[in-house]
Amino acid sequence: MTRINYNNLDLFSGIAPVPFVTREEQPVFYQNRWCLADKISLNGQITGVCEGFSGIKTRADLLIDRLSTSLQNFEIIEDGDSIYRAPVAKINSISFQDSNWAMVLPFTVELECYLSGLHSGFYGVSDPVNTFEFQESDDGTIELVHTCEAKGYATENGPALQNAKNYVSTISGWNSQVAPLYLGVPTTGILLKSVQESINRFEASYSLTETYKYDPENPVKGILRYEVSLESGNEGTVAASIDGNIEGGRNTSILDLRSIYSGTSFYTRANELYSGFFSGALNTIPVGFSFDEDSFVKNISFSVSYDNNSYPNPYLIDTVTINKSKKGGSSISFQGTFKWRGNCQCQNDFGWNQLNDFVNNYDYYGHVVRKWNQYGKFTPLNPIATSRSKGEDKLNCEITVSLDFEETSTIPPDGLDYFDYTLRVSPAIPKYASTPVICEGQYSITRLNYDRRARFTIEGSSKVGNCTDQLLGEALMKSEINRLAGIYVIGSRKVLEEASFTRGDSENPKVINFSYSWSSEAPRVLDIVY
Amino acid sequence: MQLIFDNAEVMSLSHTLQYVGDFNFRNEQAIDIQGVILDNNYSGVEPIWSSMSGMIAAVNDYSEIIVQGFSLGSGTLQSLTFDGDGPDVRQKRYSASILINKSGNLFNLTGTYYSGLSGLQNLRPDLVESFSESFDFSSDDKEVYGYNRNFDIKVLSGIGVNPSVIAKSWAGVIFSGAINLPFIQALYPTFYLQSGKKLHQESYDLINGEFNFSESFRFQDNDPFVWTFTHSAQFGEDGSQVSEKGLFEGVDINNYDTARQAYISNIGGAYNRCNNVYQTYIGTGCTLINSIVSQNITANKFGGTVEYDVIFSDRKDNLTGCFWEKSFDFVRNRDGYYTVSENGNVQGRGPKTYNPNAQYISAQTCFSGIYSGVYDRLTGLFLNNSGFLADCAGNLFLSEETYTDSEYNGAIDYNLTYTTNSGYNTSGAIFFTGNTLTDSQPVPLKASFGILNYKEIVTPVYRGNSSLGSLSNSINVFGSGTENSIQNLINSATSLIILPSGTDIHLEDVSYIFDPKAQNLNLSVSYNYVNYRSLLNIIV
Repeated sequence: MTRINYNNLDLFSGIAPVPFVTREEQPVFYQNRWCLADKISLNGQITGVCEGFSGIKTRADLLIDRLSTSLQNFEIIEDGDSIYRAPVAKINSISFQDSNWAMVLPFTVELECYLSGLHSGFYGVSDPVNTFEFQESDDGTIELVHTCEAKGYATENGPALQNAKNYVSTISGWNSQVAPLYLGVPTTGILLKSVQESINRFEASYSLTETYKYDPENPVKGILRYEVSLESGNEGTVAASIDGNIEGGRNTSILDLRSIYSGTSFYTRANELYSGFFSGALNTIPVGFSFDEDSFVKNISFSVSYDNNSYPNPYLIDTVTINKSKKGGSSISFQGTFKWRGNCQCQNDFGWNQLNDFVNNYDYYGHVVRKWNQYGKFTPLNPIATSRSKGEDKLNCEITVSLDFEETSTIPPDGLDYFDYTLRVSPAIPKYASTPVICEGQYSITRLNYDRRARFTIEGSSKVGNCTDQLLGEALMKSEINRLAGIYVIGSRKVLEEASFTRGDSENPKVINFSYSWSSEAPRVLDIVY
Repeated sequence: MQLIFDNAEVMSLSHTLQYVGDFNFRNEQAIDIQGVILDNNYSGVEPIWSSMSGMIAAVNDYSEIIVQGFSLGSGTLQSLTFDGDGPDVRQKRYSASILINKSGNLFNLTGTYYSGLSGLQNLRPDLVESFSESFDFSSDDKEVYGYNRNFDIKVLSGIGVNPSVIAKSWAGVIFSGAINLPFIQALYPTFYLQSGKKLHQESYDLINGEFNFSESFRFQDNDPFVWTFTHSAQFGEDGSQVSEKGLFEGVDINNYDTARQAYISNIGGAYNRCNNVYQTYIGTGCTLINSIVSQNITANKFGGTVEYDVIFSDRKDNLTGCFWEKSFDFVRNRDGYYTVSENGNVQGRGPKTYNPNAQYISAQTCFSGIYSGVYDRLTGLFLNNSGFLADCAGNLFLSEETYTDSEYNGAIDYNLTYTTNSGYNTSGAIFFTGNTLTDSQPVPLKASFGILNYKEIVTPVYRGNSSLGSLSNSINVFGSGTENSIQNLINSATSLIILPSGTDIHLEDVSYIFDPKAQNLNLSVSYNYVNYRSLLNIIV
């Protein structure tokens, strides 16, 4: 006794005898055979016997009604033993052939069953997709797009969409599923850049697209790419900027990228490319740098600027201005900007302290004397600057200084800021007496046969240093005057004619104006007509 | 696994040759079998259905096909139908379709265009469902040649084989085979044989066994790099400049080094290329200076490219080793003297090295030459401007100098002022600015008397007698740069004394003031002399 159940009910009970069964196995290929689709045709006859058309129609309606709920179990039972069972059967059609609907009504029911045992592929899905596309970029990185999708159908294990999702889930991820011919994939360092999922509930389709990126040459958890721009301006200095980024993926953390950043010497990389075009080397200390970190996108972009300025830290931007006048009064001034590359306030103001030491110990006088001589001036320069100023900009690690120096009569002794003098000399000359005589324009000129006493006057001004005692300063001044007198006052029978000085002026009490005179019996020192 | 068809009654076989072009790479044998499942025990439906299930369970991707105990080879089941034309008792009819793939015969995969491909015959062509290749050549307007090779293959599954392995082995042969293709436009017929960097794409469809491989390659002028560049010229008030912007792309394995070497080898010709542009579009009697004004390079190690631009200009301030800007001023004062000045800026070129700064050394070297030419430039310009200045000019003498010097910046600014005042005439360490002569000439000696309520009358003291004449020299001398001793200054000053004319000349007074700070000495010398008055006597 054979019985056919659908949805756990005897499908043909009270309707028709058990129909003939045609079973067709249709392989489904997706390259490999994915499964065998079991297509069942039930070919039978409804027999009405007594009721006529209404009876036939009633049974036909009953058959349709019993099959109205699709995707139920289907079973063929003989003598209580199941000889065929499909957990899920899809009712494709119910057709009744041409008939007079009187005594007999032939019918055909088409069902489609997918049995788990007839699947070599994943049970519960059709139209599977599992593709890998590798594309090499100019910069040596490789993009990998993994697409996996499927259309599900209902099984005893679950609804169609769930089956589709389960399948996609099993093949998702890189997992070294293929080994490319040219574009080798590292076992580490493959970055998942994006994931896109798409669901169509009614079609029960599910797709997943994963985009990866990797650097076959450097398989770490981040891709470092950069370029170096070298800008050579008018002066020949070269500015080098290394710009790039460290790119991560969804499967990396920002800490991975920071680790790569920490292990990367931007200077080495910038200098490597610089030295390919220019001689020398870049300064190891960057001129400036900027970093942008995006911890969501997992990206660190950077820009680090260097130049080939080899001045070490700290350094001086110097400007010296020399005014040379042929009639005296030449001067020289020094303007300097002392700078520290980088942040001078790190490590307890290390750089700032170094900068200050440099400023405070710099030999400004030596610098200006060198320039003074370079531009053809060899007269003495007073080592005490007539003015000096200093400005500090700690934020920018910059100190500006300005000093003015001037020519001097003589280098003042320690303790005096300046000592300027002039020498006034009336040298010894013969004395004459002249008397007019009574004749037009005639004179009697008589040489008196003696010379006048020569007279020497040293006069000028000086200033006692701020840190020098006033009396000590005056003593230094007098000592200097004596020294000069020893040089200039010549002859015998020297007599001090005048010794005066004024202490202080309206501007500064430490300024001294002086005037000292001597006379002597001196030789005629001038080579002139007497 | 074996797929056994017993009780087969009818079988048909169709042998079809599969081609790509003229190449038979695979053959298909389509076999249809009709038979019956028998149950000789008359045990009802169950044995028939059990046999059906047994046949179905034996279906695999590839199965050995056994018909009536005879093996037809390995094939795939395309369909299997059990007809429902009876009660499934004792017998049930079936029909099956089988497909068996066999290797084709690639005997003709030889000759000029297929060299190296004969090995495909051994790479399981029976499992290759289809394949195609395209080789696209292109030549653009920059004379850059390129190709894109594309290879598609669809592989059937087989027993114990991985379709992707077969696909890769085919692609390997296709891409590595020596090829000689008859491109019509290819001026370099074998450019695609160059070793170089090729960009690849690979695609694997693991479900359907479809695979794609492609590679692209660029080439130019038998070189391992591609070089493109453009020129642009600009004309403005500050002069003209021509720039060259270019890109080197390495196309060999060491593509970056190749691009860099290419840049170094070719950048030297940039001036000639730019000058050709300059002469065509701008220069009519002008000259583009052969010194780079600026140069920018962008080096991409990963992309294997070197991008650059260089600029040349026709501005005369662009000297070898430095830039030099200058201007001139001409001023005539009320006293009739001219002052002529040259203001200039010298910017050294070169790396900013420390101690010494090469940039500053360059500036110094430049300035040395510039300085030595100042006088000639100013003299020439001074004479050329005589039409405007409209005056008797005279010689120029240096009077003022200002220098602004920066070793760090490698720059020297200067202002040199010359004057026609001959008081600044100097050729040594000492010069004088003038000798002011005061000549108090003899006049009649007289006595004057006031007469009350009448007038003041004058009468000669001695008849016709005159006063003594006096000639005073006031001589200024200056030291010029070098510190001079007072004696040097005195010697220079005394050599300039002018004596009066007359008789009985005798020294009346001498004094001098020495200012060591200004290196200045002012010498005053006065002589008395006797001379008859030269001017008209006044008749009283």
